[in-house]
Amino acid sequence: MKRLRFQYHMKLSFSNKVCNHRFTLKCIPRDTDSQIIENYSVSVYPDHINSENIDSHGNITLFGYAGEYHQSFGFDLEGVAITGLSEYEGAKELHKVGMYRYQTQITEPGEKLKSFHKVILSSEKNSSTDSTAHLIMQKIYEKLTYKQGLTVMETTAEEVLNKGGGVCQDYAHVMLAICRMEKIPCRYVTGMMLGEGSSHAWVEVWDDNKWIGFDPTNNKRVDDEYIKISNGRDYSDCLVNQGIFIGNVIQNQEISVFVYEEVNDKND
Amino acid sequence: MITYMDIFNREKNVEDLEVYTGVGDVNEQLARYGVKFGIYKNNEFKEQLFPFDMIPRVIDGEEFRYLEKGLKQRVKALNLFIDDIYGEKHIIKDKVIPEEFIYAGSGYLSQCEGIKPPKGVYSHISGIDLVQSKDGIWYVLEDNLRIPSGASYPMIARGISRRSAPNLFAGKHIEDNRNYAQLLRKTMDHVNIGGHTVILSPGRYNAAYFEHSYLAEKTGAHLVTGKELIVENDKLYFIDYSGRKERVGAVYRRISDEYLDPMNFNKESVIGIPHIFDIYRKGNVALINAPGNGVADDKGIYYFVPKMIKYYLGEEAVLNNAPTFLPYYEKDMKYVMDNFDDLVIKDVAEAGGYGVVFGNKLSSEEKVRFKEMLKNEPRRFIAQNVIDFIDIDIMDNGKLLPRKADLRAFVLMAEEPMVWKSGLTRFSRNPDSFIVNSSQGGGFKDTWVLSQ
Repeated sequence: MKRLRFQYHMKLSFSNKVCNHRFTLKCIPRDTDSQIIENYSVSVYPDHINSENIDSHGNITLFGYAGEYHQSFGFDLEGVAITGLSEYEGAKELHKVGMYRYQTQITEPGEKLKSFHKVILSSEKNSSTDSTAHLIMQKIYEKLTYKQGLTVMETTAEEVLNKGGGVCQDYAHVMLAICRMEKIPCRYVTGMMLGEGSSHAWVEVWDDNKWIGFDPTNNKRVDDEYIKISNGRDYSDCLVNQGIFIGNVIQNQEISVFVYEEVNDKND
Repeated sequence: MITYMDIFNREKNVEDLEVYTGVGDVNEQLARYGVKFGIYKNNEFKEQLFPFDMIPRVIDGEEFRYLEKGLKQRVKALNLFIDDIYGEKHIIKDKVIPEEFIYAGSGYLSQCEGIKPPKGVYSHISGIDLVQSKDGIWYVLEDNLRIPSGASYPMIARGISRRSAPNLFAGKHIEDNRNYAQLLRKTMDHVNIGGHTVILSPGRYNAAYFEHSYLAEKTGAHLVTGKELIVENDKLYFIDYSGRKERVGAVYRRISDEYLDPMNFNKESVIGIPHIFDIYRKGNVALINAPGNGVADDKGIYYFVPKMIKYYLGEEAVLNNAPTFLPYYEKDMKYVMDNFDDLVIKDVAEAGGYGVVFGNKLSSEEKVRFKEMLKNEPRRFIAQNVIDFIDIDIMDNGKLLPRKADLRAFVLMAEEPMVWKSGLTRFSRNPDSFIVNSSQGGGFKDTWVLSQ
């Protein structure tokens, strides 16, 4: 168990002014069986009207409208999470998680994934979902090379194999594709990890009555160094920021995430 | 089985009947009223007149009561099914429907998980396509729940016909069909959560634009495009000509799910309303029909509708499905392979008369290829026995010609399902064709339901 302080800053800068900006943010972590969000505050700029909702995957959604002209848009989030309360997150029964069992446009396998799937699962026969998922994670970790700039946001799992590597999002999509070929329900997770850098992505695999977190980018199980923000069928359900606006501009996005352990809490 | 011959003058030759004198006239007037539908062919938008034939389909009172009973039962079950799929999913748990028919189909939208629409209605307006075989048995061919169109055509044709040939209607005990607007208004008011009712159209380049404007005029709802609606403070507003914002409580949207809201569905959509789906999720506006209800009208799901009726209502289906085979099941696959020439094969992802293949029309080479495709993607197709459905005469240059005709019945759901005592009868202009879709060049007839 850890007590983690997190900061998440996102800023979009536009080369020119934009207006009529509609946005949806999924940036706020929620309570699960393994984490409690003790407190958080979020500020979104420019000033605007804001609403909150929960989407069909259970994610906290902020949505709103910035009508006036503006040249930057973003949010500052900070808070404290208690993590590692449980090794798993409770799951609904199999017939209720069906939507996580089928491929999406992003994970739909082509020839490369099909043969990779064959290679992985002929090497060993695993009885439990847990060990099958573990094996899949390990093989993906060995197969892919972590490299930025190789892929873009919309890169499909099949293309990731073609390129031979990518970033955490790509590792997660490949793992989802292979698990779903094994008929294992699994979901994409966006979150934060101990340290300084960007947001992170990993996978949760359904095993009977629990969701088990696997991080194929780091070849490890998800533990108390992770704070989960959202989950879905693939990255598109978990976009931290999504928007449309009027303006013909070049956008530049800065993201900085900082998660550190609070050890010297004066109240202790 | 009753036909127009029974209620028109029996003694005289059909040419004598007043009905035929009106044909040219009525079509002229329909054209003047702009009764058209648009189609896209080779990336070009074209508006076509929808040819009207004055010889009606006639259904007697007793027969219609039977259809009514079956249609209400069917739509009730379909609503329960949609509610179950986006909620508890008992029907999957009990293995009545294999889950891949839900999740791998195009109709299921994960965004709709857990949403309860106002008053629990998912399919407010359903268009159920039926045919009657030569031995008099009715078969349901297709359920259309997304945004079924067509009611406006018999509505306006009836009105014009009555004016052009008033004697034709005298003493025939025909149920008035001009009440569709009242039924629709009742349906929209039932779920309106407070505020205006609007009909949302993609605009005049839509195939059914005539219908959108006609229904708006007849129901007293505002006809709007996405640009006139705005989400603010968790509510939906209509911006009127003076810039004033007025609350909207119900949207009869004639825009498909994927274009409805670029923040939740297709991001490229410019005809939708950003965040409308978010406030719908909160119960702050009614969307008619409910997003995601296409999960129930997928051609693959069609096969299971009689099972659904049994499952949810504990009743046997009143109306028959056309005998249908699912190559997904091994036994059915074998049947389809053995009886390929007698079957019509439909691609579950297609609509509007596209993706329909008659086994006996393929060359032997095409057959081999098609069978191979079936084996590779069994879930993608359904196969049906070809139903030899009845012809209804049409009048073509003074001659009577028999043509295949189907019936789209409209069921509207308010407190209880209501069946419109009329319907859109579509006919194929090609004598050899069984495909009656208007996008394939067919015409339409009025449907007369007799009160006796």
